[in-house]
Amino acid sequence: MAGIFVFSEDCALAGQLLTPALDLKKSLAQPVIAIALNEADAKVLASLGADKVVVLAGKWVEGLADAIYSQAKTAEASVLLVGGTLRGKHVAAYVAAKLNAGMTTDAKALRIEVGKLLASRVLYAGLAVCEEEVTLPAVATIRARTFLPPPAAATVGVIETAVVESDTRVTIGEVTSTSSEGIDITTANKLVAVGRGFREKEDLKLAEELGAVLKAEVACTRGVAEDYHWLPIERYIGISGQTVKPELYVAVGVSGQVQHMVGCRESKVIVAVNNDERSPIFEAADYGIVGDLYEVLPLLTAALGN
Amino acid sequence: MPKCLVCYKWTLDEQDIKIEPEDLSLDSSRAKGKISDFDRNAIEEAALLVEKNGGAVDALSYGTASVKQSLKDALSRGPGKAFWIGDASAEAADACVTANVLAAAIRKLGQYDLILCGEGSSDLYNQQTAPRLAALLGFPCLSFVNKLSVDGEVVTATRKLEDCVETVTVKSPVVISVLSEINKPRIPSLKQVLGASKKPNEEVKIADLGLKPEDLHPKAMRKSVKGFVMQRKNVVYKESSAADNIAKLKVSLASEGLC
Amino acid sequence: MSYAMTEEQELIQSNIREFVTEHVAPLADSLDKNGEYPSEAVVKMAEQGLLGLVVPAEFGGLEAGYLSFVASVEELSRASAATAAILVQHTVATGCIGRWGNAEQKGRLLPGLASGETLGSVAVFENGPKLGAGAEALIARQHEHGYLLKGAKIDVGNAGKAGIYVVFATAEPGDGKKLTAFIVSAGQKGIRVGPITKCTGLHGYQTADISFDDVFVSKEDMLGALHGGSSIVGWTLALAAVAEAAETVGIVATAVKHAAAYSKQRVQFGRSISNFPAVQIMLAGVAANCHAARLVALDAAALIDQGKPFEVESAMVKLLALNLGQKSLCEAVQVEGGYGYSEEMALARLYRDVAGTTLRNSPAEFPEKLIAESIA
Repeated sequence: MAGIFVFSEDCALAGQLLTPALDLKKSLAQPVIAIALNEADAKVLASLGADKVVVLAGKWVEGLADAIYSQAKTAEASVLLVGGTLRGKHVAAYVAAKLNAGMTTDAKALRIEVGKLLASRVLYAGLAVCEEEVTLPAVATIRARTFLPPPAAATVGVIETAVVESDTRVTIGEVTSTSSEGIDITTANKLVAVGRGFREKEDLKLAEELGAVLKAEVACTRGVAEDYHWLPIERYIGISGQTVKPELYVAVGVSGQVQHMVGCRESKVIVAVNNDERSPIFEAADYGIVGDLYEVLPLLTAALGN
Repeated sequence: MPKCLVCYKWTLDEQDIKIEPEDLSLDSSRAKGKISDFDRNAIEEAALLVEKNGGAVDALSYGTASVKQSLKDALSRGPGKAFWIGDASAEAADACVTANVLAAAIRKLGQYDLILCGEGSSDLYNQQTAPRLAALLGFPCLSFVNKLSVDGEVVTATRKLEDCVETVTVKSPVVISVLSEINKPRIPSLKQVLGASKKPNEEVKIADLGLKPEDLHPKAMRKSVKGFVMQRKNVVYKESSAADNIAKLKVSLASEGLC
Repeated sequence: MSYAMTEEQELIQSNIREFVTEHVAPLADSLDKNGEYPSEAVVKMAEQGLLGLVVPAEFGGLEAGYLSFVASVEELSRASAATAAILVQHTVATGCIGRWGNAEQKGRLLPGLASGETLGSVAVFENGPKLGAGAEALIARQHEHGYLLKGAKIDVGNAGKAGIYVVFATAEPGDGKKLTAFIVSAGQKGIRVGPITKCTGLHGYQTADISFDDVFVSKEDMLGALHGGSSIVGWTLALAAVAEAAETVGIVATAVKHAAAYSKQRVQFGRSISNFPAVQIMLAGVAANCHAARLVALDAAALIDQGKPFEVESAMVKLLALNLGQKSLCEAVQVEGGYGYSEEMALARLYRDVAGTTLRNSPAEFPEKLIAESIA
């Protein structure tokens, strides 16, 4: 077997996947082969350490699954790292089935041990963590920002184009973009999260002002987005929302239930402000203030603004 | 008049699972069984399709012997018949084995226009079953669907992805995975609950599926499962003066290099 | 042991638990605050099949049995005992007709009761020293083709909402031994439902006094035999006691859960109060007694399903419920301290509701008498 494959329709994510790929290359001594959707992306990946980049063009990402499988099969790939977007997961599982390979979803760390791929991941809606051992050939999906991209490589990889037989069975109709104001809270370095402790939508201003002095974005719990509609769904952090790991996470008026905390528990420092000292958030935080957020926030904003 | 098959998983309710404080191992002895949450949406969606278009819904599940406990629950929610595979191999089965078994069973059970799954199981959330089934059966796969309609042979679905919403059409047969937002499963009436015992269920034996031993051998194995426990400093400032608390917090944040 | 829950009974129980979480629990607090009859919830219960739970299938019911009924009452009461009480009063009337009605009466009345088109009620108690004695006792005077009812009944549940009332009258003045049961249609001329009583708890469950001013009932509306009403009323009150004990159990189960959750979070002197022996003793005692009452109630219900006598067991569970109910709520409030005493907390409603579960269909004699008589 020879080949550590890397694929994501999101070029930035594909670049990040090269980091674990290059790491696995040290253990497996096999070339890193990236799949790209166009020449421009191919050039980026070739310069970040991919030994070879194969360009597969197609209108529908999921429709490329057969072609990706062909590439992997021909090269006798030992590992396939796929970006853990929804499209990526679809493609990865499809290819895994065709390769008769095992697949680990949303791996957080990877290494080779005794000729197998060892991955760490989360189970039971965040309740548990485990190590999953996959025989080779193995497929793994990895979510965005799990790894940083590697530095520019000394040598640039080879780029080639392959012919793709498009899957004509599926007709793509309307595609409507849904990215809103363009604020991606998952990239924010600091976050202020608001919960149901706030009484009115206008009161979120207190959180925004704190965010301004901290240079933090404002995020929220599920209730604030889905029930109150005070903030768009993209700002909701939790088990079925966004996962973030900023340097600082300030939870204000947030009770701290596990379905929310699983989305932010990898933050470096968690601070809580809540008027109920029995609230579970204090067990999940590094520092907490028991007090009325309406009193605490303005004072905190003033104190940190100096 | 679509003929639908819903694949569902009988899982442990993760809410009942406790973490042992000494070694962080998981105690699921008190965990009750449930149909995996997203699979409930799949069953409901199939039931709604058939209520609208006519046709029929069958259910299929692969699990250990305990899968029998799921049959009446599943049959009370719309399907007319439940097929089940209760085998010890399910204990260690990974997504690869699960798909092999389900695909073999589907080939045996006959022609279906739509094969529905939840987008992932509520316990392990591998999110692999639907695309794997599609690959093995040679059908197209529409994943992460939040809206579904059928018109004769033509299946139209709306997929909700991170940055866009995509409408796709395909001719059946097709494998579909649904998002939880696609519907809100109705609570069956008592009449449906009691009527479930009158509906047929059929065991499918693994030995009759023509699988090779390596098809039942998992390629991914879970080692060392541990409860996740938040390890945080848990410093709480609760002086009577808010100003005092804030002063202390400021010192702490500074020590962390955050202000 | 008279029973073990069948798979079907367990499925019914978990189905009703889901139903309650979805349709009953969210309305419980507002129902308590505004006290308006929860017609939407009753419609939902009817659609779910609860109103015909004990009615034979040939009359459109689910024929699921009294054990499932009692289990369902507990599930409902965990969220809203007021809603459960409406179902209990209805089912007692329905069960009565099912047990004692003739073929014509069952065919005429049970389908409507099973579907929820008609709500049922039972009117037993009167103002006076004994049933049948007293100035306002309900007397049935013979009349052409039937009887004329005159008098009054007090504390009738589902008053004003029921479509039929099963009433117990004396066909001769003076002697309560000769009761006769009648099925009275709510629309009959001469029936007057008094103002709805403002009760301390169970808000939403309507009770009122009802006066009968020469209300005509035909011979076909006599339930059971002439002068045969005493055994019917005994059976009816015994069934009501079992169901009401399940209401008590449901309320207490919720109170215990609430107090336990509170005690885990409340920290005093550096540790959660759930670790204090005083608290553990209180909660453990309540939980154990609650479970015991639950099992006795289900056991008594199983006896009804088996057609066996159950009046003694009913008196026993009544006794258990009496001891369980109010004491447990006081202890739960004690665990929660000042917090538990606040109207904003769930315990407040439970505290007010639980008293209503043990004093509704109470016979003139206390349960200990019946139990003692059965022993020796």
